[in-house]
Amino acid sequence: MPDNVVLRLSGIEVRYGLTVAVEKLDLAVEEGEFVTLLGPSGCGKTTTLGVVAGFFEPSAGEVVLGGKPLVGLPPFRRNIGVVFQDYALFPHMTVAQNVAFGLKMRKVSTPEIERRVREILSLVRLGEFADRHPQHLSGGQRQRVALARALVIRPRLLLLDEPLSNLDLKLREELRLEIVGLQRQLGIATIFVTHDQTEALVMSDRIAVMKDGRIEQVDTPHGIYEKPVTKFVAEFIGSMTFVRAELVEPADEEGFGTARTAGGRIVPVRLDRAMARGLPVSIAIRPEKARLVRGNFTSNGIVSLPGRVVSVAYLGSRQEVRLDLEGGDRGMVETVADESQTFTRGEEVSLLAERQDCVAVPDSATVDGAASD
Amino acid sequence: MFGMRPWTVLRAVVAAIYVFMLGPIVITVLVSFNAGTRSVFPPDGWSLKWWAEALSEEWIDPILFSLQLASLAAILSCAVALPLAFGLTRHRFPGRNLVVLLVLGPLLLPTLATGLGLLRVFEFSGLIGSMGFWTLLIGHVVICIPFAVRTIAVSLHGLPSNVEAAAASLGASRMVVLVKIILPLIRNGLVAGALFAFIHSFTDINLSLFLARPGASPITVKILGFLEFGFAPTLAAVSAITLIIPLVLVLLVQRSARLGDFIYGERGA
Ligand SMILES: Nc1ncnc2c1ncn2[C@@H]1O[C@H](COP(=O)(O)OP(=O)(O)OP(=O)(O)O)[C@@H](O)[C@H]1O
Ligand SMILES: [Mg+2]
Repeated sequence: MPDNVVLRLSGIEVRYGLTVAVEKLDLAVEEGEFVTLLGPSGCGKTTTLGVVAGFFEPSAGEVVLGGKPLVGLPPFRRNIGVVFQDYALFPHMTVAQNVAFGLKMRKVSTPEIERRVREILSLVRLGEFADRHPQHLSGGQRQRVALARALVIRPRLLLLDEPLSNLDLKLREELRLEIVGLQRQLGIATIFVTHDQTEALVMSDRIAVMKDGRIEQVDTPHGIYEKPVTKFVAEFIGSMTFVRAELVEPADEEGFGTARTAGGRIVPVRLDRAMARGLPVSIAIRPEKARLVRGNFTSNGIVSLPGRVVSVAYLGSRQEVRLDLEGGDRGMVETVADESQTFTRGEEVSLLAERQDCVAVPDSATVDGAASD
Repeated sequence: MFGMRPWTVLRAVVAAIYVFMLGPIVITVLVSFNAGTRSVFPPDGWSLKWWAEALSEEWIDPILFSLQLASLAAILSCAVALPLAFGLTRHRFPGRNLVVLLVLGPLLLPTLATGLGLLRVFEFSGLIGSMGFWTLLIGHVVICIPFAVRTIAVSLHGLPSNVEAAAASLGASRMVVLVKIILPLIRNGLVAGALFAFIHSFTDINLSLFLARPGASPITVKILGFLEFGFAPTLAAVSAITLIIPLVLVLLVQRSARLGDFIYGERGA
């Protein structure tokens, strides 16, 4: 790891009574980096943020911020800015007082407080709302006050817990860009929590996909999308055709092997990691990487999976075709919607894909110890 | 007939309730302005002489005594109730139900039982000889605590989530979070708790009967004692005064704190 790591979590474990909310979690955030924790509800995202902020003590593991261990340090000594899903603004204070609160705690002089509050409020375009109470602001404005309040203290790290989930779609899209812009401008290392894959893809430098209290994969948005390491990651981001199979030939030097599908077909697959012969896997194929042809088609070096059209969804310039594949798997292909590509229900077709677009992923991270590379 | 016009019936019932609640009060006030020596209604002439008597030392002293007692009981019961409400709303601990029972006890038990119990305690602890204002105060604090705990707990429940965590992340220690965030946000609960405690103490007779001593009698005990000699219009005037005090307080407080939140749960305050 490079030494410009700001925050390092290692071996974090959090329990609530008997339930394990977070387990063996490792994560490093670099200076100025925007890292997203992405995962379904209840997977431990808020708990992880809480451990960093100091709201919960982990039962095991270490949190190191800027070289200093944090475990045992109360939240008010950590200098970490937090934005909550429900904003958690102080209702008895005006916008300016909310933003000034952290500076007052730091005993900053009054003129300096006034200057910095004005500066940050104009940065989030709320200058004229300084004397309003939060109750009299819109959702998006409250969100920006919360952001200003967390940023004005110039924290070592910024934590954002689903800050956009209470807003409507249009505002959400606007604020995504605004938050990232602000984060880049101030160069502040940030952990962002969401269960919205688009948000994660659009905003992040890196994404950590979480499941059941563990991180399944940490990678750039591109890496997560193109090279998912488990079925869960492949499924969570975007849509995907999964074909159940068993590994026949492990990866050669180029990273390709072969697998036998549930339909008994031997097909070439891409392997992004070492996997043992005989391992149950899923062959993951993105809908936009697959093509459809009528009838039964075979060609060397191309994966061809026969099936039957179940439905065709017309999307204007493109169409989404769903298939029942041989062997009982469901397939999805996204193609241009032109005359050469009209398919009808019940028609016999073949799903075609290049071997580099057919990624074999283990069915779960634990089967082959995927987390241990 | 009830089935056909339910609203009319309901209105009539509500009106009847008001008449029965307010009627006696109105009559009492009117009687206090009676010119004659007998407490009759309607009054057989108008005068302020009973009011002059009611404002004499004989009556003003116990009223002042009750005012002091109720004010202190209100403040002290809130001071005790605040940490209790915190413990009960924030923590699950072994014996929590026992604490709930102890706190609510004075509300569930007849005050007579509480009074008797306290009397025994004072007896055993040797305080019985020096009973007076302070022992009364202890008793009143005990019976007022449930009211204060209740309103403060309602306020604590209504606190917006995460504001404390937010303040802590901004650098506020626990003490600062309490003073700058929690107390201002539960102000209504504190004020309502103090007000209910004040009124409960000011109007209490059951407990005071056990704990009062000559020279240390709240106005309620004094009125009851006087009743043995019959109902003079003086008493009507005195009663009117004891009615007006809580009423004025409620009106004053209602202007700043929303008491309805704590009576019929209009909104988490
Ligand atoms: N106070 C608590 N007591 C007991 N269990 C809890 C508590 N808080 C969270 N949990 C459990 O811990 C797990 C992780 O919760 P967490 O809030 O971190 O999830 P999350 O990923 O933030 O979910 P969401 O997207 O719904 O906010 C869940 O299974 C949850 O039920
Ligand atoms: Mg959460």
